[in-house]
Amino acid sequence: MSAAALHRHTATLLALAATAAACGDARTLVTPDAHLADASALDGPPDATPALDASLADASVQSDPDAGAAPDASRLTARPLLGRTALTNRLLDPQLEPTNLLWQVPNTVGWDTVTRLTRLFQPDAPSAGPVLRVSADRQRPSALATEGIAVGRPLDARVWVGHHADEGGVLPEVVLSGTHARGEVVAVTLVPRERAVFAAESNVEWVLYEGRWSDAPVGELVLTVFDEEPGLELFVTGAEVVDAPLERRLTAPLPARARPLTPRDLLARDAVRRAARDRRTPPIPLPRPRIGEPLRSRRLR
Amino acid sequence: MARRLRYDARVIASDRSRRARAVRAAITAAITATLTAAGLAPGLARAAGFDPATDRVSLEGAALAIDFESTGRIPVTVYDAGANPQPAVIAEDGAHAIEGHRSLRITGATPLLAVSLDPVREGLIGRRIEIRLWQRPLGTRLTGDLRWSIGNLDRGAITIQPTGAATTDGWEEWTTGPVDFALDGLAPHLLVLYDDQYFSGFDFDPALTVALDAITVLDLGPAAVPPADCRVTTERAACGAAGVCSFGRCADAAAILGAPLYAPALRADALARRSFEVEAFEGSRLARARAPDFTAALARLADPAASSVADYWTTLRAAYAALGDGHASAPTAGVARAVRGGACAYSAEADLLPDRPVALMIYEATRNHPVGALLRVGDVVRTIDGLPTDVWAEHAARLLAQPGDPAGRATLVAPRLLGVAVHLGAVLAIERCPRTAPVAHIPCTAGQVERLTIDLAALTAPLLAAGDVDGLLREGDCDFRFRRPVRDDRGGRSAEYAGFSDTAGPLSIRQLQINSVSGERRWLDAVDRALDAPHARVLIDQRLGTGGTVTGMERLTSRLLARTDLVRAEIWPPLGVPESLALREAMVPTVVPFDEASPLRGVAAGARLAILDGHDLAGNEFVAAALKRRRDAPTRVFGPSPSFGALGPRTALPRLPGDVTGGALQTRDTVLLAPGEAHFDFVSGAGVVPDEVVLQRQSDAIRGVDTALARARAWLEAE
Repeated sequence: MSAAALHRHTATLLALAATAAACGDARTLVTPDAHLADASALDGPPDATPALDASLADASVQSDPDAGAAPDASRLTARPLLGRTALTNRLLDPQLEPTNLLWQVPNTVGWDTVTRLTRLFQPDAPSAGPVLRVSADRQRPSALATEGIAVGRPLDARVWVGHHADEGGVLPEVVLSGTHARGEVVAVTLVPRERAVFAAESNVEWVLYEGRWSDAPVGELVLTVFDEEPGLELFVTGAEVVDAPLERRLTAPLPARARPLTPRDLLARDAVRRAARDRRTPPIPLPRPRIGEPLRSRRLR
Repeated sequence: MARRLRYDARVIASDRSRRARAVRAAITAAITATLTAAGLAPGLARAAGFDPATDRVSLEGAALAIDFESTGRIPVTVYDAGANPQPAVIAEDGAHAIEGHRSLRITGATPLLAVSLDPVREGLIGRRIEIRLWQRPLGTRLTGDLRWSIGNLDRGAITIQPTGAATTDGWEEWTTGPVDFALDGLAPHLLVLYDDQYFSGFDFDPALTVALDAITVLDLGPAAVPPADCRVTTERAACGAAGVCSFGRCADAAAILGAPLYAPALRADALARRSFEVEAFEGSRLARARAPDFTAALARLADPAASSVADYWTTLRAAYAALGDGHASAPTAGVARAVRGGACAYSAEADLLPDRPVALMIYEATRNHPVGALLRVGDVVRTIDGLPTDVWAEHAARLLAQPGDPAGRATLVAPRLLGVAVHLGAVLAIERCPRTAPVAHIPCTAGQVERLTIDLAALTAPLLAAGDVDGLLREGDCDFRFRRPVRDDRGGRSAEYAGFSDTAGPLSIRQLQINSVSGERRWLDAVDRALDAPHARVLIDQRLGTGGTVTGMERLTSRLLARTDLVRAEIWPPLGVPESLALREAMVPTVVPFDEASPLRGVAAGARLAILDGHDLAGNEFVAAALKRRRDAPTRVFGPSPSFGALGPRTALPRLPGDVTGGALQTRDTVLLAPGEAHFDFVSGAGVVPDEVVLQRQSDAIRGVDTALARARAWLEAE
């Protein structure tokens, strides 16, 4: 990775961390590139939180599409290719690619068979990237799992998870599982930040989950979001797992203590493994739509 | 709230006047200076048209601009999924307006949009252009292409990509990048945009929305690629740095091959991510050792000014191929539809020609294809553009990159040569020995050889001019079999096919014909029925082996392996640390137990076994590797060359913004273990080497005899 690219993403993450760490309210109103603009310009010491707070205050005025005010709503900024996700992400699919089947909703005894996944692009997603939505028509708690690969270094993990604002509900649990280099299969539970971030236009209340796994896992990683609220739509951004420590991070993620895998963790891991084991060539790319011909999308209804 | 308005807007001008360009240049320069002073990324200066003084997009200076503001007719039509035109919805943007006050709303219910370029089309022929637009995802996002189409053939297509410019409230600028408007005289009529959900394997939500505004067509000056004849061997001189050869004519490389990311910062990000994917996820131990070379090759592509579009794709594809991962493929950005070669042609022993060369030979011709109509079974392609076919293939490397074991490259590339030759407009030199049975096995003398020259550019030019292109798209359904032992019609070539039969006589052979190693129930049942007893002689013909599932591979091999031959296959991810017995015990890597619990395990383990390989990948290679290397009973592989060496599962990687496909890697490697073994000898990277290298003979071909099949049967019967 080039030094310039590293710098860009480091700045982005700095801003994110600042947002999570420094906001005074329990719920903060944001638009995504408010962070990004300031992060891009932020070239000084990493404790420049006042500037970030100011930008958030501006953003809170701008995010209502019907407000009709805020003449400087559309300030120009630079959008990195992967938004705020690091290029060195150890998860295979931070883009939530819908054709690759790298995200699983485990279909196991005791869980509902959930297939209703949709990839969204929201103007105020905290990752400045795509968002996966699990629909609310589930009968029982469910999980969303994806895979990565680790090579024996400590890891920092983070992912934004959300429900619609004001719906309440129990916070999901986010678990990263893998194997220590010394041969022990373990999991760590990521820690939700206390302060939620409110994306007004999408009406989603986002919570950032983070954790530093100081041991050095090797091989397969599985990141799973366990959701106990089947009646609520669940939103998940592309997760990020990077080698720690990330340069210039404002605040280290909370340490996550390793524990043995629970039966629930094992089910998620096995679902991902099954998918990897029998993963076939993905569907042949669809021909591009042609004017005058009906669309042939795989899932068009 | 959004409200329905008349589907109207305004066309500002079809104006390429010096004054307009000067205004645009001045605005661009001012924005560039401002952004540079602000310390923003250099790529941001490409956001020409965004005026930081007003935080709005300016349309001034564009050859065509569509703003969705006024009540005049605009050249935009939206369609529903059934291709029916629908009333468009224009909405007030309020505080989020990026140009004027309104923008177009596209929803999942109207997922297709055509922007007509006809108002400026004539004036832009001979010019270099760029189309930019701004979109604000409100649940979904638009992608789309500019296409140079003749009927069902897209001669060229360029997919829109992000510029990296965005706004704090979610607007994103996308562009085609610079491209010559006309491709060999063919100018596009439409920019086609569509909901990105179209590609989704997830649910398609018709309620999702995206706002579209400020579409501009910019005139960048004279076209960069000259209107000239070319061959791939001479294209750099004939077409210049921006051009490549297409149907024998120079054309813009971005239109033909797809446009690499155009903004330097985004391109650097994409290449860095692709390098990281190889460093972090590549599972083949052999390929992992080559990751530093891969990263170095991609680093050379980061500067758009330092490599042409053709160089970019050639280098990128070569880097993936050089990994030696048979599952590796580069991401793509182009969407031009491939034309067909008109015949199935493979390496063969041309024993009827006086010099008996190993050469590209026609196995089967597609009669209703304009090239296929000129060819006969047994014809030999001696040169392409005057060069031996393997030398010519090097010139066309950007289209013929071949992953996997380089020892198999020539054979595995062979069936793609004719299609690429048609696409490039090459000249084929054909030699034909016209004799027929009963003296077919006697070689021709030099004087008896008929020579045929086919100038594919000259052949296809009138078809392209007349729009008569469907013949060029006709599929051949090729495989490496000249004759199939069980089912010799088209159904016998489908990926899910499995069938079996027995030869007559006292030395009866159970012949199993498969293509992929499918996990489908019917396929599994057919294999179970074929290998349900301890047959004395078994032939597996998998010459169209396209891979498949671990389940299918396991089912087939377990019937032919004794428990003492092989007890398990382990599929390991990369670890970053040495493998160890402790990790083997703790990780429980994905294990293939060869159907240990089945009563049919090893039922045909004592059979004399012949395996016919050809174009075998992944699961099919695994079958050949496990049986050839570990089976105790007599086992022999017949084939033309080593296979890919793709002995592990394939993982398709995600598209990055601007990609059409994201490429692929093998993220695991495989260890085969017999009882008592505990090693870590990974097998990926080296293809399965045939015990007997056998090429189809020309003399057999014109008599309807499959050389490899006959050789395998003879070996099975020679007890």
